[in-house]
Amino acid sequence: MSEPTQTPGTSDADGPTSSVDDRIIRVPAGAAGQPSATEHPSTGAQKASLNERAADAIDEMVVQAGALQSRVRFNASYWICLVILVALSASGWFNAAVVTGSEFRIFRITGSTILDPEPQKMTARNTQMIQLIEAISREQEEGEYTLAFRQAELSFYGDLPFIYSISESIAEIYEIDTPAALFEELQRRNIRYFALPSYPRAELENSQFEPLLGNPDYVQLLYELDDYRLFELRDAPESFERVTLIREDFERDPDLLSNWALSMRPIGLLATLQAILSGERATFTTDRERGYVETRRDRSYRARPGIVDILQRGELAPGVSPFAIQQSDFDASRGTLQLVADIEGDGYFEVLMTAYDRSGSQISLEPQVLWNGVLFSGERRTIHAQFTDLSQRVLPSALGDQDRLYRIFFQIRDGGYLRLYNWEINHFPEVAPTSSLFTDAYLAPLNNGWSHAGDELTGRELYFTTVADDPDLSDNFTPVRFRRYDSRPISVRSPAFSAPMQLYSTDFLETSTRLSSTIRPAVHARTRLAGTGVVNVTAIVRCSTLLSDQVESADANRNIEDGTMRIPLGTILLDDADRDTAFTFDVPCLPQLINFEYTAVRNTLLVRRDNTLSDIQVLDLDASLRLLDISGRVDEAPFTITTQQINEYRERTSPVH
Amino acid sequence: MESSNYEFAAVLLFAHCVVLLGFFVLSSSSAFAAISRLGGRELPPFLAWSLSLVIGPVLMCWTLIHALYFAPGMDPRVYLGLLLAVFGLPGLALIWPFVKVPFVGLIGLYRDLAPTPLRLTLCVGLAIGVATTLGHLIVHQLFIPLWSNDPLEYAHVSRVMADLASVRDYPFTEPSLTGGLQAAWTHPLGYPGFLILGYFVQGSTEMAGCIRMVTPWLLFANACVLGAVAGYRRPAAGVAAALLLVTTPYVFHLAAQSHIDILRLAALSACFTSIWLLARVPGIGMAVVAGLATAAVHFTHSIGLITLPLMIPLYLLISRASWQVTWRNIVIVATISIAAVALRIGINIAEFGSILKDGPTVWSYEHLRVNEHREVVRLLYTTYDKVFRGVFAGWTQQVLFGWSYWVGTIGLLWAIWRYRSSLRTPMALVNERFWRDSDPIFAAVILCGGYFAFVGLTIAAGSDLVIKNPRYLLTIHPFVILVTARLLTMPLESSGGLTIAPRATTAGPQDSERADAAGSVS
Repeated sequence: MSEPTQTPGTSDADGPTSSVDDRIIRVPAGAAGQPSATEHPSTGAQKASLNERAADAIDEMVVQAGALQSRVRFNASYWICLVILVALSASGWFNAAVVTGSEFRIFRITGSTILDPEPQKMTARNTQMIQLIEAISREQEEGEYTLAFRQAELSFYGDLPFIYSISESIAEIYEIDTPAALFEELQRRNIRYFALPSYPRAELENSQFEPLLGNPDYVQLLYELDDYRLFELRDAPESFERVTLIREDFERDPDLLSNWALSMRPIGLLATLQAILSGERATFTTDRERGYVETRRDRSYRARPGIVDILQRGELAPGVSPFAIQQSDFDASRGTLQLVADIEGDGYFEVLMTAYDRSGSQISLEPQVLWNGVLFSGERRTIHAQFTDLSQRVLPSALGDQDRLYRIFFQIRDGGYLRLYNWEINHFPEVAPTSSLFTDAYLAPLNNGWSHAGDELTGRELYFTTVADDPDLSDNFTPVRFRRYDSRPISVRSPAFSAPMQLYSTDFLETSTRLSSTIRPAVHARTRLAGTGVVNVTAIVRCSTLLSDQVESADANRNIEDGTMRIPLGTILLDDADRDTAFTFDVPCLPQLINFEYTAVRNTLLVRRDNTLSDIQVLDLDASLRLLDISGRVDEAPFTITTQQINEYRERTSPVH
Repeated sequence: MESSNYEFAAVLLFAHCVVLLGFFVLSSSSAFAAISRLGGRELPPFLAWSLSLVIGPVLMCWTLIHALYFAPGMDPRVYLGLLLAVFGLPGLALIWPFVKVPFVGLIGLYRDLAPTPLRLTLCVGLAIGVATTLGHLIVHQLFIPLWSNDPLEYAHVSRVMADLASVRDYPFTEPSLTGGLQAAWTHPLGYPGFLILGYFVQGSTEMAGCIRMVTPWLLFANACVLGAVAGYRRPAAGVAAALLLVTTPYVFHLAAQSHIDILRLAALSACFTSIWLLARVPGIGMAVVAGLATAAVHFTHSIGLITLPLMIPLYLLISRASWQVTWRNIVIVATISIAAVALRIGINIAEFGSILKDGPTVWSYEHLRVNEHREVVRLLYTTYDKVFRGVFAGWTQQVLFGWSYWVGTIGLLWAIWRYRSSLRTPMALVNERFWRDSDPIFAAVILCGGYFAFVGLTIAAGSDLVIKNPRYLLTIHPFVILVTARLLTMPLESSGGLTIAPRATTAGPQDSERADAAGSVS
């Protein structure tokens, strides 16, 4: 490759390649040349019959082939190397294809959204930080700052002033040693909002930010999505009434220790296998003297992220669902809650909450992370976390509050130990649990794109790809362009639509079940048409995920094809008068895009006197997607798209000659 | 109406991508003219061509950054005009020899391979693999927005500098300019240079747009450089190396996310290649080329400064020239490559008091325990993990690095076993200085050894700086690939899957030929 113009002959001295090549080429040539000289001399003296000569020739070929065969050697190293090379590169090649493909799926890119600008695609992807930016931009005012513990998206996709947590300008803030002083300092600097990623940050959990953000007296939790959180600083420190829902202090009351148990949660197949094969268990001890419950597993020589030890109330074997025991840790009504716990340990540590109902099925879709971070050996510390029950937003009101059971886990990743001295859950009845921002913001990803309703509507939210939009065709629709059998449909498209990431799981069936247990989308559409002719109205729904219980019940006439289904809504006969028509239909999947298609039906019997085949105007279309919860009640906030625009769609033609 | 706007914007985006790639091609073309003159006749054209794919664009970005430093605040078109004048016009005038090289190379390659259709098929098959992988990457870059952490930060920093048309404010110790982004970095502006050029080309910094095309170009250039050096006299090895590089899961992933590391790898591959060439072609001109390639590494990343301590011993080992010439070349390479980043070094010393800065002040607070925290979160807290998941990540994290490290290691062991008879006289080997062999595999093995020694030292010194992110371990990835590809294709080059042995009965020319073949193999 380096010296490509070289001919094989000149490179003889340099490398083995060319001489080997020559050998390969020359040997068969020699072998082929020989027999013709010895066996078939064309003397002409002895005239053999044609058959004999043919037989001789065949014999000779067999002999030659046999000789050749004995000299052909199977080159094992060639094949081994070839197989390894192909396997190596093919796995990488498929990886590249899978990466590209999965990015398209993650960003929900379809044929109709592929050309959208980047911000739109980012919104459709429903990234947590992008949603946080949206929430911040609704709240933050001139002169205020957000303190961000992750800066990339805020800087590139946002345009609000913010301060990065490790910025030099606020370095001294980490030397403050009480939350109250930190509060003062933040007030002075006009830092009002705090954007937290889901992963632990050392400068957050080892500084006074930890007690500050965990205390509703100082900050209010505004928004949470996939453990990304947004807090707002209060105007002044409050002292809200707090109702202690649960308090267990083992130092004071060692009898409570008997409530506690250890279980192991191997995450993933490999870790499960490891756990089963090794038979290894963490040790579980309760110390009545010093008042703690402890799990300990010596740090192995190798970190195993898949093995997690869990401390919780109640006896549980590994792998048993915690929901089976029907025992609620506390009774959480709607509201702002706070966790305070005294712990000591070594390693990566998390506190999780899960909500479930009396039938044992999980309501919150993933265990909700209340606190995560790193514990250092020998240091006893207090952790604080402020939270609300997210499951109430995903499944609003199917259950009464008393049917909601809650469970808290303290879990530590393989290696190290964890001691729990005491813990409590406080309820803050005075703290407004759901500011409208919270609900809106939480639902924002659910009605993503549909929320900009009414007059604000621009072409982006809902647009008509009509013939009238095409300047060439609008006024002078020439017979040449007329398509005889097929009319050009008017298509009205919704913006991209996506559900919150919580609803998605790596497991398709799981996702499907979650979705169908959560929402039941229905579309209500009302359209006003004018003109003359026959119009077919069809809804074209592009699905992102099918709902499990509705897959089978999909009507036969709903033609599902690569995730898109056509749902015929009706045929409307227009006779020179306005006509209002309403349609309601269930969507048997989580829709990503909904198109409405108006197709003029060609019916020569209805041709008007001026030879216009049809003349249809779509005056108005209101479509709203309603997400019904499982109790069948319509959600309070339907996501409506409305258009006030009057779009005309005319097709004129003279009879075809 | 809106839909047609989007379509128009998309067409515009494609056009910007083409223009940006045009800039890269023209700068490569002018760099090719310079490199082939500097390197002289001994420099193989395809090697010079592939080196120019990296050196040309980096030089262009270097010019842009220095223009933005010394003459800031002008209309972006002025800078584009400058680049066109300095790189574009010469590049355009000398485009024909540049375009010709790969085609002539391909035709030559075809002639070489035509008599052995199996090898030809193999090379074509592997090349199709490279092309389709890059195709995936381009599709990805065109339609998926930028979302990864570091690339977003780079894109934003570059956006600020492009908006100001100035790099004077960098490093951004005062976050008011960046809207809050913390970017008090000591990194030279190599990668931001590429991004600023992209922003200038599209005339807007609102979206990432055509800057996503930077990594596909660099990955392509890197594949060409690696292919050229690994394919030295053995084309199949070259194509295999290129394919193994672009299909490495982590490399593709980083390229798809527009990470800086692709530039780092490309520059380092070019540097290695030019140093290896310098050992064979020890002229002053080639030393200048090697200096430029090393400058490209320095200009890319702060950590590039470890290049000289790695490359100088390598060059001393493999150089065949007299010691005077060797040291003269080292001085040339070191001077050029340090001079290229002199401005940045000066600024860093003025701003931070040192050439390199480890991290922000916040990380230095003891009570925050940032380093220990990171070790636990990233599963690097046991010594075992520091060594095996950290230093030897290539062997233990196949999800990222693929199996090349294992295949390369086993191949090396096999090769040592295969040539064990020569190893019985190690002193003789040392006297012969076998590592000066023209085969690049020796240089690559030495470099990998040197790198692991360096990483081992940093771990022994108690720093996890080099292993804290698996991206840093990609540094030697191209050279591991080179070793793997050359060893793996050895049997593939020499013959087909079925060998026809010569007839025992026929004496004469064939016997002597076999003797020749045997002689040249050993």
